[in-house]
Amino acid sequence: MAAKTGNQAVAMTAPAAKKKKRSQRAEIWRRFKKSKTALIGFGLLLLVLVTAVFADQIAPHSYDGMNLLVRRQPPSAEYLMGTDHMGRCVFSRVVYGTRISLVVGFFAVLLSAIAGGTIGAISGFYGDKVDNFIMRIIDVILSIPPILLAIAIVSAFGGSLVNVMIAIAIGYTPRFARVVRGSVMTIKEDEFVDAARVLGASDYRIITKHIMPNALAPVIVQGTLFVAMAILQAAGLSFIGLGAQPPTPEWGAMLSSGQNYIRDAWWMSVFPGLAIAVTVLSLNLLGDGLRDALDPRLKT
Amino acid sequence: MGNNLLEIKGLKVYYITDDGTVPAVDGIDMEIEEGETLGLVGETGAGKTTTALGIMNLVPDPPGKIVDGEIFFNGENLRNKSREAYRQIRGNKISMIFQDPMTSLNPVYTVFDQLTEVIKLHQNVTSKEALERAKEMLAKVGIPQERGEEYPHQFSGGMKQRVLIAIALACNPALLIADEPTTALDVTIQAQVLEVMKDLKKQFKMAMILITHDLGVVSEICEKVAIMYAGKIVEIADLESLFTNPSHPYTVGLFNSIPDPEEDVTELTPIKGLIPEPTELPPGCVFNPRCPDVMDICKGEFPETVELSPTHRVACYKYHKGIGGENK
Amino acid sequence: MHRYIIKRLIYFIPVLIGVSFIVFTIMYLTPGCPATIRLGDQATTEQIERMRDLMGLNRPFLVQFGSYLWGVVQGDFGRSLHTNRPVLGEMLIRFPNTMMLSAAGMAIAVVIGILVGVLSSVKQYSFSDTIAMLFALVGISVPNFWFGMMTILIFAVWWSGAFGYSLFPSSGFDDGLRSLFLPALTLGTSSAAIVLRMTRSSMLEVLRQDYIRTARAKGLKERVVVFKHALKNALIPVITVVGLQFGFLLGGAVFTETVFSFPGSGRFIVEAIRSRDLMVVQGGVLFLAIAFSFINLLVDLLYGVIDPRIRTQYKAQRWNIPWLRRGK
Repeated sequence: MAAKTGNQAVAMTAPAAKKKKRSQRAEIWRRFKKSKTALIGFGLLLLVLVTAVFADQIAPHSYDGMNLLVRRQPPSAEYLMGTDHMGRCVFSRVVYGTRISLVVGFFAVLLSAIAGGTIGAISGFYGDKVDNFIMRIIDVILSIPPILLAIAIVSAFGGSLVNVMIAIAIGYTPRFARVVRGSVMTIKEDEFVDAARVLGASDYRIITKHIMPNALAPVIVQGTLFVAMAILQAAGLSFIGLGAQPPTPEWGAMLSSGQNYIRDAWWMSVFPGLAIAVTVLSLNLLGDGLRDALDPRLKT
Repeated sequence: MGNNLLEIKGLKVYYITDDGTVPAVDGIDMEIEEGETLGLVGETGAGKTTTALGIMNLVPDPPGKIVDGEIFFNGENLRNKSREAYRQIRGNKISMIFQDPMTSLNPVYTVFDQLTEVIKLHQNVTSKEALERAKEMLAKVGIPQERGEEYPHQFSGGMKQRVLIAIALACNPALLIADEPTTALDVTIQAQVLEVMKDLKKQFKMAMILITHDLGVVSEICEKVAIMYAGKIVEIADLESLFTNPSHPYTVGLFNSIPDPEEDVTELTPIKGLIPEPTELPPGCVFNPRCPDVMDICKGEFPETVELSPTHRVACYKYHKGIGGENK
Repeated sequence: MHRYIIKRLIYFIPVLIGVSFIVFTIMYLTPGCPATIRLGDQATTEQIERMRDLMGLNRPFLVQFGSYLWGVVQGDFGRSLHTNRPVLGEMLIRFPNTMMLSAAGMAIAVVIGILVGVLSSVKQYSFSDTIAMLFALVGISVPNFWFGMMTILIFAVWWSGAFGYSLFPSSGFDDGLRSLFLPALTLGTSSAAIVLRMTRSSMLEVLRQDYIRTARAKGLKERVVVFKHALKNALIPVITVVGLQFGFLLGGAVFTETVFSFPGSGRFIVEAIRSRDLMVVQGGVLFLAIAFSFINLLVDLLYGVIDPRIRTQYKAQRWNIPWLRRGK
């Protein structure tokens, strides 16, 4: 009974807290709009997203339609980015590739955010022995360069985009855990947590309703930057044959084929790489802009 | 007057930012003779540190700029000096120590390194001689010589401040500017550091500008006092005149707000009102919104300085003949 | 100082065990039974069972790990499924090349990154600063294997098309430093970007510090203030970043060596992936991971040399080991 009233009392302060949150959000939005990097990044990302969503409309040809008569054609009106060694339209493949990279990158990071966030929250909240133990494990996982870890995992279980996603997620889980743990530890010391506890809120409730929302900001910033890195990693894994299998139009895989024809068909190598660069750049810009908007103290 | 070591005329240092221009120092006049100690008193934000930085030519630019005024040192106008010439003066003829000793020493170099650096910079001596001089200076500030090989983080706050004093005085400057040197220290350490400063002042026959907000410290060590408020010097006098005859209402307010240790005090008497926003200074006399003796004329133009005696000047309409009336 | 070294070394061991554990777990979980693979499809269940016992596959997980770890400690990283040669041996032959490439890449990254980072921080917000920041952003957004291909396109394909010869070789390691140039440039660019950003932000932070103000007040030339006082402090976090970068370089070498057909351990692993030689892949990854941890260890020790605060922190601890108590 006491616990119930406790939670009610906490709930009653919620409207006041909500009001503060709304004006906080307005302030964040204002700072975001002010940052040029954030806006450019957001704009570019929007462009990439639109390309992914409307791929069917934008791509003039299919991504796997082979026409052996037009192999390795340079860019032209019909084939904006030329054709590859199997006669496929590079432009169309690049366009469809957008979907793959975004999905793989986003879901890998989402997975690791959930897993890592939970682990980090538990570690940061309970502290002491639990924290020590978990952090030791995380330190060990982090002592393997993430690319090597991914190579080991994917080569063991077979090359496929799903495996790539899982391997990348495993690589980023400890990093997210660290980020969330740091936030939780700082927030834990704030007074409103003590207040909630005095009113009888359970541990679970404190973590989910009070601490996590405040820890969200760095997770979003880091998450954006991690998606950028994940896309690079996924492309890299496909490049060495561990990710997408033909004829999937994954950018990294396209670069791998392009390697062999670099002398005769430079367009096979230049355009997919540019696509990767633009996508990753947009995410980096956005991540930087978000970081500046959410915590201007960090701005240099 | 010809025998002044330092003479400041009409100095204006402004900070120009996107949110507005802050007149941190807005036209001040000040003189110091050789060997004299001037206390520069005022609340935080009054412009004391900026004045000091202006004299040293260390005003951060952007956003700060010396927009007007003259600074005469030994008869020469410092504002005409090149950057190279100014560098030869800093640390050498005019030295400065800052408010927070905890962070003012470079953590990756030893105390000896940081001492000999300034000695070798301004004096033509060998490394050995510089080290000897460094050891001398440490002795003068009361620090055992062996400790010179240690790193700053191994020293306490009071000792660090003494090291900084040693560095500032190593080249025997004619003028030392001390910006709230004891504010960040414990009260007992404060007394120690002040003793060291008084002692060295006598030894080196050095002039000093002591920036502080503590009138008690002023009474111990200063011969002359200047009271600053919102970028202006509102009163400047020799020590005795100021304490026996404080004239500007702000000065009076400062003295009144010090609780008397002999009386039973239940309430403090602060000066009413708050210090103004630096970008929104009131017109006329900057103090007028808070002044208990405010008159209509105070809201017009900032009052010109009036001499109450050869060693006592005040910028207040109360003392303008024919206006306020009472010339105490 | 000795205590710091020993403490750090002790910390290395659980990392070694942990890394081996991770690799072993991956191998353990790999689908497909090694015994079945060895015997072929025609084997009976009985034969497979016996083979499993022979290969020790029926023992508990931890026991298998124990024997695996024991093998690793003795240098047994498995044997290539194709050539049956020991993985460790194959890696050791090629690893020096990878080290040279990584070192060259690191050198490029550090030199460019720190230099541009310092200049950028001193001239904050200027045109060159903006360009530098842009370069840094692009540097971390571009996949390094694609960048490598672009350099080949420019320096080999286009150049030899226009001028009839290759300015820099685009494959192999036959031409000494010239062969190293393009791959090192490729490898180092993304690290240079990161080092640049870190140096710049660290310098900006340091330049705000009070001890820089003290240095200027001494009358030191600005160049001395920046490179002697600021940089040494600013480099401390940069070194951590540089150390971390080595891990990314080792990983990135995998791609760079593939693009440039460089005879290093990275390309060896990629070839093993293509030929499905899992033992080489896992053993190779373990090898590189251990190398990476070892390099991190060296970086941490270097940290102790540069930041005196760490050295003295450990001096103060009392360890009752007589032969460790030297000097003070």
